Amino acid sequence: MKRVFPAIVLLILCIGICVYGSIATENKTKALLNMLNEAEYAINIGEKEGALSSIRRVEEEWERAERFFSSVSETALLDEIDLSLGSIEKHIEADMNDEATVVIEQCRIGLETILRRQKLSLDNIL
Amino acid sequence: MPIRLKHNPENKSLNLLMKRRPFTGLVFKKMPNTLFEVMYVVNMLIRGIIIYVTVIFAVRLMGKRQIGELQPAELVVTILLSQVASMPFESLEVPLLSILSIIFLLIGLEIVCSVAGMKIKGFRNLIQGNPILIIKDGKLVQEQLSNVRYSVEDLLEALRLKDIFDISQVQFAYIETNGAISVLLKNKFRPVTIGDTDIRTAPCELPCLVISDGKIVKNHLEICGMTEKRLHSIMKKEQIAVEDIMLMTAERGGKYYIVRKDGSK
Repeated sequence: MKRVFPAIVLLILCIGICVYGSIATENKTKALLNMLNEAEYAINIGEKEGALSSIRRVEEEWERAERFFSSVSETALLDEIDLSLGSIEKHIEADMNDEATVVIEQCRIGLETILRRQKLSLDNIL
Repeated sequence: MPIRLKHNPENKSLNLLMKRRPFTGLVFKKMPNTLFEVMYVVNMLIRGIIIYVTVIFAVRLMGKRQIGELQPAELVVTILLSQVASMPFESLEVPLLSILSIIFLLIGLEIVCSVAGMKIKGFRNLIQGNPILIIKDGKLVQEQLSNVRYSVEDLLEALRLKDIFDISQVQFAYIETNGAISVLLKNKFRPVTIGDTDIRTAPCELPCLVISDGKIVKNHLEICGMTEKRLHSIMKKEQIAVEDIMLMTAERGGKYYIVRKDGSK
């Protein structure tokens, strides 16, 4: 019977990790998506400096969030986003706005994939 | 703050992988590619140690039932645990935290289910089932045999493994929930025991290990009614030091057995 209490503690710990992971992933992903939207808007209205500043903020935020994401998601997906983010700044500096927009869209899809995979849904379970 | 490793164009994905495992980023600043690959192995080794310790902890927590005869639920957990625990060794891509969560979940569920099985009979029947009587009063219960999909050959093999070569000697036989067969032979075929005779015997005592590899096992002394003083007097009588003894067992009645270490006087 003495093993019941550690077992219950472990189960609560598991549930806690899952719930925390789900909530934290949602918060961080949404923050990154908002920043990406701002950067895309700045590109569309022709504000190069604003776009560069937004993208740098996205990169900083990604740097902070990446460590967390690597403990809950597979690294292949994170690699794609990481590499894409690195190229957006170069596209903006070279005034290649169309390419920058395409890469931003790729990053957005990647982030939404992370968000979707962490959700408690029948699709993910099955 | 962990130091960000610079993107190396030659090893982009390896570089990113190392960045994501911050242990190496904290300790090492810049390194050639060969050391990156060495650190990949180091990361795997550290993962291996963490998984090893976790699985040992899991098996200990689940208790001795897991190590002995396995019930169906226990067998399932053991197989799952081994499969899940091997996943981080395949690749650093798999997050370790997810694997540890699954291992903890399996342990927790196994213990909770086994306690529930202990307290709630219906639950135990659901998870483990019931033993099936297949030989009753010396007669084969053919219906039950077909229910459990046990062929006659399987039955005879199981009996032979119990050194029973003649099925007509069996009074009762059960197939237990873990798949093993337990047998009660007919009276005239059972080995004679002292209980069947009028022979008087001394009470049965439990031999306890009191010295193991040259060290006294203090918590066993009380079980066998021995004290350290008496132990040392035995050593004096046998003219041997505690350090020279490989093992010594003792019983309440004063009986003891000593095995010396090889090379001791």
